[in-house]
Amino acid sequence: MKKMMINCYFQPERLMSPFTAIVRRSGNPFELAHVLVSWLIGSGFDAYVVVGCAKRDVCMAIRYRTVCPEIPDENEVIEEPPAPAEEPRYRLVPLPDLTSKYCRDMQQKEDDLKQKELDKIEAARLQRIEELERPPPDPVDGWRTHAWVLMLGGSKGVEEPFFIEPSYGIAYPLNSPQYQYIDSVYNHENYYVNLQNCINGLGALNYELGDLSCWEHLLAGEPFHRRQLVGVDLSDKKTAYDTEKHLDVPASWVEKLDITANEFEQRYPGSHKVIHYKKVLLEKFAPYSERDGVIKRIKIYEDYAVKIKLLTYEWYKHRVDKMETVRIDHINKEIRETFGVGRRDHLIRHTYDMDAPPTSVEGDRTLEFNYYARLDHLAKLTCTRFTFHEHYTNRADRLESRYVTYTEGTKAEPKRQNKDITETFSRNPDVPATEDVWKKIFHVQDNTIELLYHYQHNFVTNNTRMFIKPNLAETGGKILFFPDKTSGYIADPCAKQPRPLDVYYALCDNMDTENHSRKHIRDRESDITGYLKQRLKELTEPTLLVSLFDTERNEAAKKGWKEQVTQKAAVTEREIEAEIDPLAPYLARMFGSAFGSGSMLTVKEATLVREQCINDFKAKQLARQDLVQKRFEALNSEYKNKRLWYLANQFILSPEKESAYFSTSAELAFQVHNLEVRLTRHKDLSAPRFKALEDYLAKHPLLKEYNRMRHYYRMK
Amino acid sequence: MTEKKSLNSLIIHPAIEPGVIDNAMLTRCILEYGPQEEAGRLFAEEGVHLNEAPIVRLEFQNILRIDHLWMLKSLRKLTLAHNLIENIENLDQLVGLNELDLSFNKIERIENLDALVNLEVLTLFHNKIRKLENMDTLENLLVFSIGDNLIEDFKEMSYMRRFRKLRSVSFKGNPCCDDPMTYQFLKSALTRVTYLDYKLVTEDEREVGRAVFRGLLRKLDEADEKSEKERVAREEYEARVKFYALSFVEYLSGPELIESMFEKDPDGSLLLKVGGELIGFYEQYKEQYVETMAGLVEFAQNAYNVRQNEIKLFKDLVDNALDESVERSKEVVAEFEEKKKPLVGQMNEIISKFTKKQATIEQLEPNIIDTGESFNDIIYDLWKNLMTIEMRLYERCEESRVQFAVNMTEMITKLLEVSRNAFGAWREHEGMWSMRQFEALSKLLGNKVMLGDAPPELFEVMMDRDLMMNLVAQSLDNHMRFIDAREDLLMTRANAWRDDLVQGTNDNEIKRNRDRVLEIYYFIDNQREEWADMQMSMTETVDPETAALLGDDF
Repeated sequence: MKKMMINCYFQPERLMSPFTAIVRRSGNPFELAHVLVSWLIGSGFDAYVVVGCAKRDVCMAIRYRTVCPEIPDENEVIEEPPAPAEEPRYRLVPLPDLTSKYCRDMQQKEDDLKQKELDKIEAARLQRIEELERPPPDPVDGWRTHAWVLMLGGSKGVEEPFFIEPSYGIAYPLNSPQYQYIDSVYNHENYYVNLQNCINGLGALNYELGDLSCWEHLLAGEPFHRRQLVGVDLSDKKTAYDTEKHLDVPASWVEKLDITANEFEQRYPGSHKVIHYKKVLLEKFAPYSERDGVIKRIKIYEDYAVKIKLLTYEWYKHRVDKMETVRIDHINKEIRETFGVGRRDHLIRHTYDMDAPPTSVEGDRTLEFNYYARLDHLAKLTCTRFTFHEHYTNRADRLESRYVTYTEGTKAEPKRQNKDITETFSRNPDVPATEDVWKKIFHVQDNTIELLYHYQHNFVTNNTRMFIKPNLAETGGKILFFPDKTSGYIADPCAKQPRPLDVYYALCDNMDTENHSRKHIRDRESDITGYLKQRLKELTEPTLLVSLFDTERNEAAKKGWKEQVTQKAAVTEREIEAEIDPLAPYLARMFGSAFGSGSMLTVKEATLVREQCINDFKAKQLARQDLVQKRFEALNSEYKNKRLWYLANQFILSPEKESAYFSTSAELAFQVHNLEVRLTRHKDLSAPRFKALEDYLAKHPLLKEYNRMRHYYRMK
Repeated sequence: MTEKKSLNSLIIHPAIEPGVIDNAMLTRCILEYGPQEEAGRLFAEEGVHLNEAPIVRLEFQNILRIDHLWMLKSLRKLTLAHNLIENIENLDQLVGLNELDLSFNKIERIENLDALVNLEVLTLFHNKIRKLENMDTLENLLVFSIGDNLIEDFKEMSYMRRFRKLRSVSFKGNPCCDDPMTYQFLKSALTRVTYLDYKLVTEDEREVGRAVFRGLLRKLDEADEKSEKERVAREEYEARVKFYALSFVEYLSGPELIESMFEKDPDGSLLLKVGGELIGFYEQYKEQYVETMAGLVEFAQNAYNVRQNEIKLFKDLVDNALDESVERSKEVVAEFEEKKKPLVGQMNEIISKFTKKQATIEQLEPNIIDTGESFNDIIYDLWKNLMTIEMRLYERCEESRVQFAVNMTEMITKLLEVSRNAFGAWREHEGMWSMRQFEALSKLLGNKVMLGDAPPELFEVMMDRDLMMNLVAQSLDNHMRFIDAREDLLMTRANAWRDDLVQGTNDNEIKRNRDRVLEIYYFIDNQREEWADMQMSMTETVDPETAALLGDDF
């Protein structure tokens, strides 16, 4: 839609209506500005089309000299802690400053000098770049006609006037250098010609359109809602309205603009658009138009000719695997995928090396999880070739991280071998620090266990304990305790040495824990391999999710609707087919066929048939009325009897009987009422029904002769 | 019969003579129920520490008397089942006791349990108890077993209603259990008990009981409600007093104190009985007092908040400084460990060379001394850094500490000034009251008509001018003394609080400083010792001269 027609620097040759521009999805700047202003005015903004002159790049929609505005900002926002509300009344005595001030000053001078040098080089470099990037000279600069949009303040939260470039949809301040002159400004209310000089840039202009010394109006006066009503009696609107003469712009003859949601999604011509920015290619796609669901892609290049890739960003929508963005770093060979919440494995970010084996935990990769949804509260997992690091958050057992290192496999055992397992726990406030384990380090290959305890308050060293694991095979599976196979350091010089029994218990516990941890790591590795396999499948065979309520793409629903429509059509068709001819039985009785003898009936025959038909109809109606009447009377009397019985006996009835009476009488009353309604309805309807029958017979093709006769007689 | 007896005696330790608890029995029982196998070996090796045992089971020991249990200070669970105990006694020391099992004994009376406030499980199954009593202090009781006793009246069990945390009761086997009403009563009366005889009580069952014992239950409920209300009111009052005590103005809000002053002064209250004008003056006096004291209380409350804020500011500063210094020290220690690693590696290499006889000690000696020296260097660095950090922390906080003490003193002085003014105003009111009292009484002096219905002693006083004046003076004196005492109390408490706080802060800081220094030295000694041990493992066989050289300090 925003594809620019190459515009010569004179006026455009033609001007399509905004409606056509939308249908064609392309147009020259005037047409685009008309579309945009129409939408803006429609939603209540004070917008104008500006006719004037602009730079070549704007007029021709050249963007390879501008910086892409859609590159995501990756700098993290650092929030500074709020300053303390109260001035601190106590402070630490500052340490005496023992460094030489002279030396510092000299150093400072030297550094400044160096910095200056560096800055100079940097400035020169920047200048060179700027020179290289400068566009070639334009022989007709300042003569290229362009149209864009001016937004004036005062409505819907717009405070300051600003411009919008209709071909990009980006706002620019009034003094932006790309717009050079303003000839005129118009919208659906008036046409204003600029009387001001544009030498000092557009920012210096007066945008008060009512100021006649700056803006000449094509149509005299202002529309009512813009007038400065001073000294006019507002109570009588008519007089107030007429106090100033004003001519209106002719009403629009353009068809009403409308863009459906589906049209909006398909706004790029051919569902696909590529914009070339400076060193950047921006691609946009309509949702569902690509097989993998990509909707936007930004490719950042090293060079102006877009040959060497630096970074690629991709945005996805409607993917079943909930992948939302991908960032590919072509220099560091790193891919980062982010996911929406709600995956089965609760993955939210996956960063991995491009060359890493796709389904193995031995490559460099980081998986971040939505820990809250996971039973094991796993928050992050970092794998490299010889390490495996799990991070947990908020676990009940206070485990914070588990770090595993491996050594390379040998020939006999090609798999990598567990070397150390380090488990870190957070401080448990219910247990004294001397009994609260901070780190458990299992040296699997050295057959030792190391325990580091938490630091006590005001302590700079912590308790440690080291075990050399006993050989269970020698003792028949029993854990025996040897004081020389354990050593420890107690940080508190006043504390007692731990009891051997407690040390022994710690040994037993931790031998168990080690086995659990090793099993856990094996399980975890196979789990992650499973996840990675699943990811590989999702990446190679992407599927898109179609919402249940998506009327365009939900194929199953569509099929259902179609079936419904055909069914409905079939029913109506049948109904049309089976139009009932009330004369049919009589004709059949007389001639043996429902369609008579085929020819017109004689007057005599016709009279007979007609008479029979009408008589039967009347009799039927009467009989029906009688039946209903009878039923009504019977029920009504029963109801009245019941009621009398109740009135007589109401004080001696048991509660059960009473409630039974109420329920039956309510039912009876309902039935009586029903019959009554039916009866009145029947009475009301029988006359029109009779009329309808008569009308039908009067138009019956077989009775034409008879009707003509009848008509003739009646007229007489 | 004989056969049965012999069987029984086989089960119940036949060899034990009926007696009392002694050390040997305790040790034996603890060992018997302690850990088994390897852990048991270590447990036995270490010896039994009676004051550390958390659980002691003295079952089937034919104990006649509970005694000698005061050693078991950290006892949490005590089982004295299947003995011959007749009285509950000598349990007062076992304050931490959580579970007490006295089943299958011959106890006739519940008593001497008042000290066991933490008791949660109490089992008195199969005894000879007739009455529930003396358990009011056991507020934490959760499980209670009184089955197989001699309780004849099930209404006795309404005693159990007072235990708010009680959830399980076992009652089976009492004489009154034959009465079907018993269980109906128990289920309806003990509303908080979830399990009766270890079976869940359903709401329907409670409902049936409630219908039967409607009147009785209502009476019980009313009594409970009354005591509950009293309890809540008392607790609230105590909480308020406690709260005011924090700002040293307890009992000063409201007319409470002045009323108690008159109560303690019989002369004043006697004279007050004259009535008439005097009552008006009295009311006025009270009003003035309340107003004065309200000002003081408000000021004291504000002062309390300001003080708390000040303490918080100071604490924050000191805590932050401490955290920072600890963090830095930890870094220093980690750095040291990092530096130590290669040295240990070198030393191990030397040792392995020596043990493999690749080199003699003479050849290795320079190497050893070199490594030892570098080790000494890094140890010295460690010491210097750690001590610098600690000394700086101490010195940098010192000024703030002094400032804090000054500020606190200033605040307390201000509070005392305000309180002096308030008490001075009170004394003035008192003087005024005394004067008015005298005037009012003087008008009535000797007026028999007006004093017609006065009590005889008052009448007597009012007939004699001297006696009356004496009484008035005495009352004034009494009151002045009372006021002085209250003011003194406030002043002493405020000053003591300040002294404690300031002194405590200083003491804590000094103690912390000393602890840290001690820790640093201890750590360094440990490191040295470790190093020396490593060298020793090699030099065991070497002549003592070298050993002395290597093991020497720098």
